[in-house]
Amino acid sequence: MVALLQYVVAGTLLGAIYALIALGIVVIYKSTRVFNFAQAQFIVWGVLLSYWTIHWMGPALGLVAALVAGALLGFVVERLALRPLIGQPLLAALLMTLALGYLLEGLAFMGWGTAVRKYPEVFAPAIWKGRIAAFPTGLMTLGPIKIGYTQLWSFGGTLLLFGLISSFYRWTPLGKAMRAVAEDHQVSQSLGIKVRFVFSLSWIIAAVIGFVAAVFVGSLSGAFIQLSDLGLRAIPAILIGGMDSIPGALVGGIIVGILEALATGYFGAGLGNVSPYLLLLLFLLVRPYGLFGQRRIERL
Amino acid sequence: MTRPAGILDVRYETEIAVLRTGGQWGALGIFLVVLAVLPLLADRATLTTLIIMGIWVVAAHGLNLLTGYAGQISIGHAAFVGVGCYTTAVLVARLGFNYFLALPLAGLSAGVVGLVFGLPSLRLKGFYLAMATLAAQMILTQAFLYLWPEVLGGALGISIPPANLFWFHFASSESIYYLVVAVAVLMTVAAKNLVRTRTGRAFVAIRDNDVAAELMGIPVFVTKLKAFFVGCFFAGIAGALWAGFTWSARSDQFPFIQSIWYLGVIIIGGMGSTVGPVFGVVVVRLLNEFVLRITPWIGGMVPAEMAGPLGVGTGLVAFGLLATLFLIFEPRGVAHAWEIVKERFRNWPFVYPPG
Repeated sequence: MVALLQYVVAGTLLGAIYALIALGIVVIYKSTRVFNFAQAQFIVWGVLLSYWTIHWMGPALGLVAALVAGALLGFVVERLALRPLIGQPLLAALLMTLALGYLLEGLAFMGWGTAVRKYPEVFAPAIWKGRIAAFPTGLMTLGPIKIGYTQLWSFGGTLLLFGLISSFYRWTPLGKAMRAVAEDHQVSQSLGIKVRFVFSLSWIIAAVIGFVAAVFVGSLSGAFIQLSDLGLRAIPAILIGGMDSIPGALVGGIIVGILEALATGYFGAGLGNVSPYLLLLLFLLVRPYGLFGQRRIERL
Repeated sequence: MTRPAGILDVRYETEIAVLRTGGQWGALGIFLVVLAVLPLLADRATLTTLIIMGIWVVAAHGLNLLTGYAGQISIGHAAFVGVGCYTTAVLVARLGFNYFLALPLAGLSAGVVGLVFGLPSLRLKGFYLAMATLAAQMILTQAFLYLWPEVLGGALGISIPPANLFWFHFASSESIYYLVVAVAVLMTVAAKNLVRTRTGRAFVAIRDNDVAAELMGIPVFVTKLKAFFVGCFFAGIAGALWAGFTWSARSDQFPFIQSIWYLGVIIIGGMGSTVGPVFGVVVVRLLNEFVLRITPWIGGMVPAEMAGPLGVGTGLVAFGLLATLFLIFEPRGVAHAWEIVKERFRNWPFVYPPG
């Protein structure tokens, strides 16, 4: 029973990371209908870049610099790689993000190598030198269950970010414009919304989300290059939650996290690795638009 | 299809022929002769590259039929190659089949597995279907690794003896080369002819607009399943060749990135053209060789501990950049560029279209 509870808690915390990766992909998909396979590489770049910036500039300035770099990366990628493909079949954009992922991963490989480095403890008190009342680190024991504080802060950060993005889409004029673009490109263009600007902004937001996720991922698992595998784990989360749903990304991520933790805990790594994809196949067969996704009816 | 002035079709057979002029027959003959004498001129490393190219051509034809012609994106093609490879290995090493009997069976088994993962295409299309193939990639490679360890061999995989036909053993690189090239030529002819049939045209119809295709009386679901079967059949044959070449089947030989390489091959070569995958494989493998040659040279200029990652990184960057540039500037790939060049030569000294 304790083991079950421990698995569920660990899975939920892990699932939050998947959810955050999924959120970046959903933000792009919502407005551009492009599925960004390169989101995982945004995370890799985020981890590696923020590692350097935090080392050079200290935690506060370093984090800000990393997020700015993330925004820049998102902008450049959209402008150079995806913008020329507007009007081409969706397959082209899909393949582009795959190719782009490998381009980014290769560049990261060239700049970083295979080293595994310890990520600076951004949540630790010492690194902030008393400027901010910092968070405790280490393990928290809640009855029989043990929770890492870092994981807890990541979980809280994820929820906060989901709240921010949801309210942005819900209440701000720009967010509403972006939802309109998600609905129909031509109609929103004729209503005076700058569709290209929205595309650009979506990529920037997604890259920044990726870089925030990167800070959590780095704090949890250290800085190294194979982190891009995480991105493949996030894909079932998105489809289970629904491609164009922000709460869906959160729910899907947590479902996948718990499922993986349970399967790994009870049946070993083999089934643990496969279980999200088995669930994905099941969903594709039974409910392809996911739990919260919008059902689209096709007509001529 | 344009052809030189004065070549007129007077019979239906000439109208539908793939090769219509003496020049085309001559070019094909020269190409086949070159293929036949290449191993006499090539050293061992070059021969290995050529063998890998041949295997890739078969696999890429399969992906091209599935993605390029039928429009069903597959990002799990390497796993289906793996199914073929493992089928061959199990049949040969565990059940004592002859390799040449196992070869078509490997194609069939990969095709059937492909059918299973194509079933979601009843309800799904485009991107969602790609996700089903991603699931296939992940599930199959993990299955190779963890399922049934006493038969599939777990992480060690399966070793098989070289293929043999009566008294002859395909043990030398040269003999494997001829085996692979023979199969690759055969499969290329099969792919070329398949897309000229009713089924092949149905593939194109559901790629271009599946709703319209259905209204014209094409059974969309059945046609999609056919595409999955054929595409994965080719993959299975490629897998069997891979088993014949490496004398083994191991789960780590069919990673996700391999599937992306196959996609890159058909992007660069040109989707929806039979000659495209061949061009794509040649370009991608040559690029790979070039990167392998150039990295020691770059590696000499940086500290030793940087050199290894730099090599891997350069390969990824070169491949990613090439695929990216092709998608932006020549989405129809090398095959289309080749058509343009041929057209220019045919019309020389006139420029057509003008300007």
